Amino acid sequence: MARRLRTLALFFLCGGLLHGLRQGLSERPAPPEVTVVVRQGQDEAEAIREELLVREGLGAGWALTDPVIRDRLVRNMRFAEGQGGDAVGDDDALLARAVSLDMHTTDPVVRRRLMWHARQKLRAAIELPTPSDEVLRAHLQQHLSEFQTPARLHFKQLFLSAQRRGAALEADAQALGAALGGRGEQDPQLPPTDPSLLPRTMHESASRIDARFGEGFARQLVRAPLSRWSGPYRSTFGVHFVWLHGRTAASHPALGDVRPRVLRHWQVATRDREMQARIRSLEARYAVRVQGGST
Amino acid sequence: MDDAVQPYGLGMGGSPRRWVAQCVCAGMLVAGGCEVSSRSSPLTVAPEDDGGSEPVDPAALNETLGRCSDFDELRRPFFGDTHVHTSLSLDAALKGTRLTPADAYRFARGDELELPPYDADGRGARRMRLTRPLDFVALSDHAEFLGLTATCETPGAPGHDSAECEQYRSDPALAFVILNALLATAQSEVRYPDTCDESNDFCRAAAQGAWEQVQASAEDAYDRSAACEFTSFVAYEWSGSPGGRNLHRNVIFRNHHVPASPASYLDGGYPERLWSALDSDCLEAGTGCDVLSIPHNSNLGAGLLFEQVQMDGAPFDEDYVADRRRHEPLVEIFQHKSDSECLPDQAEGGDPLCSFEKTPYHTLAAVAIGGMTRPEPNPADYVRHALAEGLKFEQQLGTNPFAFGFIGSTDTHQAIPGATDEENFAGHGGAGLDPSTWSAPALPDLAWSNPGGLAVVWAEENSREAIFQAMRRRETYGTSGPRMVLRFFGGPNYPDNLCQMDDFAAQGYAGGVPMGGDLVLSSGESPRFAVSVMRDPGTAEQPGMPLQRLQIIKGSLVDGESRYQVYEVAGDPDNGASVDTATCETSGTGFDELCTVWADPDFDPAAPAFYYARAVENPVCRWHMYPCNAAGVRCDDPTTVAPGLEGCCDPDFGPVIQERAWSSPIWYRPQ
Repeated sequence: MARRLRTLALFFLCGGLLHGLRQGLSERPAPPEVTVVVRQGQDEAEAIREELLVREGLGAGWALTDPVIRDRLVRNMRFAEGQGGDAVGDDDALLARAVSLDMHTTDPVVRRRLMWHARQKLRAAIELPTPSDEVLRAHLQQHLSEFQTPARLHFKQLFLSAQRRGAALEADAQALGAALGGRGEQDPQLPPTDPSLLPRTMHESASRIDARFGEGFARQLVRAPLSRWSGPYRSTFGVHFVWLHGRTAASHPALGDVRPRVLRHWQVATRDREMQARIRSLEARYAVRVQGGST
Repeated sequence: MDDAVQPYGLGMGGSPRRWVAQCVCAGMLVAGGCEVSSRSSPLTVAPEDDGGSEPVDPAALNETLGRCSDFDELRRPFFGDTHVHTSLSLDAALKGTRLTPADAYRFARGDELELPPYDADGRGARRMRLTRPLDFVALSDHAEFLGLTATCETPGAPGHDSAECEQYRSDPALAFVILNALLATAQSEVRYPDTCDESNDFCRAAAQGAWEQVQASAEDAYDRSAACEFTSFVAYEWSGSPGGRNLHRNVIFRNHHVPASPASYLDGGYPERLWSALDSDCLEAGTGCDVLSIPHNSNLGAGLLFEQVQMDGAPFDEDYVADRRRHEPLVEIFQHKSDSECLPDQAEGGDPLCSFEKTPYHTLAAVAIGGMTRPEPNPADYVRHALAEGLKFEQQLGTNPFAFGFIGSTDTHQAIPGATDEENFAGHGGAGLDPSTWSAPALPDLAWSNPGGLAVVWAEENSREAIFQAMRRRETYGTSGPRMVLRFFGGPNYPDNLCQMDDFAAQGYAGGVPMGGDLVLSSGESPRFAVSVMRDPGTAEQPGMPLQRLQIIKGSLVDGESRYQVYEVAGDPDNGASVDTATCETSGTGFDELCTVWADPDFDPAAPAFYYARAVENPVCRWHMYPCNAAGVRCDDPTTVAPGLEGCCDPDFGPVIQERAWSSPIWYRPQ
């Protein structure tokens, strides 16, 4: 008897569990469906992410509470209904009509504002770990160009002004080149050249040199010989002969020299990566259907 | 400007809500906020994009002159921007600026950045980079509301759940109106909002975290190697503007020794209170701190920026003028909210070049809310007038309180220092167009705005120490954007053929004073000025414009009356250079260099005077013509004026400008 009762109880227990499981499964809400319309030329993945962020913003109620969105929708409706910018209408009624026309999901400024809210929410949830020196050292190596000091050229220049010499510039340059042959940098018999506000000597990176002489000037000096006069090299202002003292190679800092900078750089990069991952993970929360585009 | 043609309705019309929003725009500029200066707090909220901050080890920092490989005792011109806002400034953040201080420094050094509006992936619709990096930058985020954005938008941050932040998030317009109302009161009554008293930690946290971020990002960006590629300054903007009348100053620190927190307008509604705070928290703190402040936008001050009374209403006295002179060696003569040099009638015979880039407003509030346009031009709003008034005070009190050197800057609120290119203007936000609402083919900014200018210093090297010293001695000049190189010396005996000599600068220093200097002459001597300018070389894609003319502007005090004269000293104002406004193609010749030694034909040894040089380029299209032409706008055919392009046909802003540079003055004082 007792065995029969245990069997009966087990029967009802299993039946109840199965029934409950079935009920539970049947009551779990299906993921919300989202139809993404991909505009011509738009990247499909980007279009999906945009739509999902908009949905997140809508879901949080920002379409009705954000003042920027409210103003935008009310202004749109005033324009659409021809009231003109000076009309004083009932903002709430205008807003309601804008929503009934779906403006809160289609207006590009409203969409951007909704996306911004959604991104802020996702970003705020990110917590970064404290990276080890090993991690930071690897990060420094990956982004070395952002921490290194650029290569520099150290030179002295003599100048012939295109404005002053006009048509004689080329001939004067040839003559100067010939006259400089074999002379030293400080030779007291250096031929006369033209004064200017250009620096007589520089020890700077290519971008700084070009900023003063015009784009492309530094590139001409890359193959210039060391410790003798060479030229002519052309600038925005005329031609130059150069005594190249030397080239300083780009320097690569050790982690200890730039640790705070590397740490902040790593934090920004890591947070950005995590942010992208969280936006992508939104796709699991929606049933996405794509219209248009390439697929 | 006519409200009916404003692209985004910044006129007085519109709904009450819209008007409130417009007030908010004004409030962002004129309102103070919740940061509490001279207090400290362990609570900090650093905006996350920059990843927090690390303490700087002062012992490891070398601030002495002479460490750079390119040290030049005859000095070099370094190009920079001392007026830049990032997402730390509330008015920038509310108009969609996401770029951080670190981003702004990267941009200044030549990295490409993306500008709003942003897409789902956070990618900006526009990309921008400087083809030529800047040499130095001071980021000057508003002290008022500093960091509040991060606090209110970061769940979990101290203060995030406060009523104030809730209001900021749900109705920033109302929040700003409330704060703005505090500032509509007299200067003597400015105060912190009640919610920001001693017990309100979130205000302190917001400011403190942001201020630490300002310092850390400046330290990260500063090149302390011998290459001296880039210099950053810790700075902020003191943003007082009672009744919308601009009183703003940029506060720039010499090195990493700075106060615990910035002094804001709400710590004291008068410049005297700012200077007092800078004295106690910096100059007299014994920490190695040094600082100067740079007033700007006198054109929007409605007479207040150069007002000639102290905060108690008393006339200037010896202590006041000495204090002002000590704190404010420079003035920002040009930026995206217009030129502050002069009015066209501020010279004998007129000075038509003074009609350059003028707003149709004379207060910050009018800029933000529209209306009140076409005020009667007030000479007291312009630097030339102040310089002359300064001569009077020097006679009366022994010190000139308005002996300003010049710099230009952008005042960008998009965190893009040095973005002064007319052809690729992306707007500077702030009181202008909200960049997050922009879409092609609309103009990128309101018609009265412009791409802003640059600050240039003559310094021995590109380091904080050298540049700060140059600013202190006023050996600086401003440009409206281009990178002309301009030198200006005054002395009694410069030879006529100095421009043909190899040692122009050496003789300039040896025989007199550079721009910004005070010229002392012996009995019987008269001043001679050596001035030289070299065109901006530009880039391969955008060559710099040739120079057209070089002028010297003189202001003097004769029998107690101010006189202004403009002298053409080199170049050719009638060189025939022009620009086709339909294509923006330029034509005509100009000059690579202009140089002369000039003697004042009207010199009166008994009359105190100032002299400054103005170098002017050949004409080019104003920025708005590029998008207007690209969109096919023809102002005689309204059907071609698409929404957002109404500014193309604003009669206040012609299609052609002439870019320029202004040297700091040289002052002559009779013995």
